[in-house]
Amino acid sequence: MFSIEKLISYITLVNKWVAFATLVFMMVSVSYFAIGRSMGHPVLGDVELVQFSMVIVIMCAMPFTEKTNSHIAIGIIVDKLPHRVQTILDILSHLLTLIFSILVALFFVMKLDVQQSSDLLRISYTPFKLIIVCGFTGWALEALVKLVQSISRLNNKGVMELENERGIRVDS
Amino acid sequence: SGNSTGSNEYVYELNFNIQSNTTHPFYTEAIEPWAKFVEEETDGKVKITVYSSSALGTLDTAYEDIKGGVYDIGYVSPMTNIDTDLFPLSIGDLPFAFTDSLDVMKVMEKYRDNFLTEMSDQAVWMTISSTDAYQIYSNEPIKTIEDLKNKKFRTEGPYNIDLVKHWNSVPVSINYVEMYEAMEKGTVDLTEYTSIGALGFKLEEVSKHLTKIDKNVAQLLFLMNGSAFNNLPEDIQKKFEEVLNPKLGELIGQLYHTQSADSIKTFEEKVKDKGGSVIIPSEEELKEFKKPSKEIWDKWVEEADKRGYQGQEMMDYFLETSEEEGISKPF
Amino acid sequence: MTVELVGLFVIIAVFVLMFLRVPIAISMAIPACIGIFYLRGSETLITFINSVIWEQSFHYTLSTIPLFILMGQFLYVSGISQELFTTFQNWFGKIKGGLGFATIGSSAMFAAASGSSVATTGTMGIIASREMLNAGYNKKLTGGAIVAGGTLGILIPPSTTFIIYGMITEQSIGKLLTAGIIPGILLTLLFMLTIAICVLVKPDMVTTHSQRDVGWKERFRSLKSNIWIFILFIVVIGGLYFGLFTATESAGVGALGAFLISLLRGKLTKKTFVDAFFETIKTTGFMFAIVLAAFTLNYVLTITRLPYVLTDFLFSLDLSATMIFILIVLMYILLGAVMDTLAMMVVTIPIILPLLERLGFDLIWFGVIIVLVIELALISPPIGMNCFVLNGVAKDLKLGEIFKGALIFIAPILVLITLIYIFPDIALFLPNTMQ
Ligand code: NA
Ligand code: NA
Repeated sequence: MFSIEKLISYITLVNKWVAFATLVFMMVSVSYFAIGRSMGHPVLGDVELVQFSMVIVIMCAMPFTEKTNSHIAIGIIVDKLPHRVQTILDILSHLLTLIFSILVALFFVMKLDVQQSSDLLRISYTPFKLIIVCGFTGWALEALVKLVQSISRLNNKGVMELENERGIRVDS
Repeated sequence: SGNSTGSNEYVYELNFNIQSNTTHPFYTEAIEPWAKFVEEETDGKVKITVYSSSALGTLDTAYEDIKGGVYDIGYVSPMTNIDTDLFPLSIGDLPFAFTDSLDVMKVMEKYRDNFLTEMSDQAVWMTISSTDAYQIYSNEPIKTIEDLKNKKFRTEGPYNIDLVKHWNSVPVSINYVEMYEAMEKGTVDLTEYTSIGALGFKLEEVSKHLTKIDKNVAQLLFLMNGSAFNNLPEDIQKKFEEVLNPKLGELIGQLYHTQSADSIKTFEEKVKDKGGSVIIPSEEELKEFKKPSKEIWDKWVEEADKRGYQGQEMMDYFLETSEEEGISKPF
Repeated sequence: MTVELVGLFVIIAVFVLMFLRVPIAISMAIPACIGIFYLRGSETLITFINSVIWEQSFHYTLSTIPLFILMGQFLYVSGISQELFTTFQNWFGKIKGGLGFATIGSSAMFAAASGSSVATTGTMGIIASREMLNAGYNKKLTGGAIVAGGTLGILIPPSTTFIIYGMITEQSIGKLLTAGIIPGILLTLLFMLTIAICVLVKPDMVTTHSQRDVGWKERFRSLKSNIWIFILFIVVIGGLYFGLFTATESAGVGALGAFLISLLRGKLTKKTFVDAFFETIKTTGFMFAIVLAAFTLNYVLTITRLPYVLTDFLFSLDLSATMIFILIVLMYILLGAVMDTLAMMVVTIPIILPLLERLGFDLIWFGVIIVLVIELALISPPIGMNCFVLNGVAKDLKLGEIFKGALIFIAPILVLITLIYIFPDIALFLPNTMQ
């Protein structure tokens, strides 16, 4: 189990750095497009490059977001319940997350044969659909790790009592 | 999908997704009357529910969405689907291929019988039509192709971008939704759009001149989801094929055919006070506008060959049929 | 089972899951997928998921979101927030309630560079809570002023809320962002007025009087840090207003500008640089998860025709436009008490859109109203994100105290909603004069 966990966090790490690099590219290139355009030299295909970058940033962000517990959840009721019940509900959360993300990855694999490419630069969509598969698979794997952790916590009373109350995670 | 009401009458409900809103003539003059027509003709057995403003999906994914049953009826643009089995139809979107939506139906229905035999059975062909012709909107008058030089030209789609490059303009690919703002702010100098659509977007507020070159039309291929069609009883299927589908093509063709000229007139009246005009290039000048499109047509034939079609044969048939319908060759 | 009933079950399931602490995105996505599968089968579900995820991520306009978040992150890294507060402290410190003014003022300035209310609250909360408590402000007023100031983050441009609203309603992002400027300034002043009234009516809210009194030279000197943000704001929002940039471009330029500012101020290390990006990636991740899930939920609600049933029902009541407007605002206040604000907006707007169109409401104007009701939601109990965030960064303030203090600031927001209803030009003047 330990080595699988390591492998999963390695996958998340790769995704995270890909998102990072793409975001750096986006920041610099969008500024370049903006300045170029306002000086009368529009870059052909600028919009498409941003669109493709967005797919990478969003999808590669998914596993990292799950790993860092950054998905928003409302704990207002559950936070007050006994820890055992909380853990059971966590198992439900992780299970649903796992089901959803694995299904999305699967749905994209099933439609991979759909041939399409962008209007202007004629870049094929297929590699980017594969990135969506990777992103959601990475998300599913992180959810799986948490699911396993929650289940083992449920079976271990000592850990159960030590567990801190979980607050609500936020951003808006 | 269906829904049963009453004791023995089964009502077939079909979802129809369109991109425009409910105030657009596309809805009020064509889609809404057609939905009523269907209900009357089938004695209420078929009920069409129209979803406006892309409520069920955008044009970009329309072909997949219809095949997958995200909605039952909708339209796709052959232009944005050149990577699919709809490629042969993209010939009708070539620059200066068509100027009138009624012609599209006449020519492309015949063309389809010969060259679109292998379309996916997940979608059923209803009818083909098109928007009205694309014109150039600008603030500086565009009279000759010289006037287009180095201008930032808003356009979309591979053939259009090629043509704009041939005209020595700088193509800027901005979605039509952002066209008004782009013109208003001078992000672009020119934009192409249909004259009916232009009024809908109030282009007369941000541009002074319209140059009527009838550049091309955007074809609209109406499709029904395969299993939704197969679920219909045979007599209703037949009714669609013989009466309802042609009626849809007619309504849309008529709408764009009759309103196109009116829209150009309305534009002219609206820009008159600020010194604007509608420019109609002479035959000579128009020829110059059309000349570079020859290369794009040739490229299309090459592209078709590359995809395993008989490009030249398709092109010859297309031109022949067009001529039979009284449409002259652009070059 | 009628299709409308399916829609209702889906909505109920969403709420049940949400309150079981299932992540909001998953709470929406799972019932929605089951609904689609039940109504239209697996092929539709598979096709739809492919279409919606592709369409919403292969998206030009939405790229403003990560870029504006990044801009705020760099500003945070640059350490400018402390200086902003000090400046306002220098200017208002002598007046009674002056530190409250400083909190609101510096929050408004920070909001001009940050697209998020929660980020604004979190950033200003650390600094302002310490200073205000030390100066003898009571905990309620301290907490209230900070969370209220934080709400300005989404009203004063840039604003992720306006961007997502613009995407759903197909309104110009540029116009929406500029529409927030005047209401943003007005609300800043109304918040200050609220504090002034508080210390006038209940002087014991400030026990010891702050003695901070600096000379004019020092006051002007401290304006320097504000200049940075001011220049950035002029470039970013001015570029948008005067048509130099598209929304995405101005966000890109803003992020790069903020990066350069933090670099020039010598605040950028390898770690802070990378962290700014990682924070942005996390926020992007959860926001898009919610957006994608909400669009899935919206599809199932649309095919069950629930929005149209609701619209027809409201119209059958034969109410005046004002009455319907009040009902809409009340609905949002109730939803905002218990719902996450992003989820609230992406789920409800498509539902009430047909209604808004039938009423003939200007959608730019209504965007400002939506942002204001979301600001209410951010500070109203039991679920108020700004209050939770402040509670997280300022351990001296108890959640209950923060919420009680926040209640005071609900009044100025309601006043502004009323003003904008009566005088729509407060919101529409700037966007209507855009170049
Ligand atoms: Na802001
Ligand atoms: Na709330």
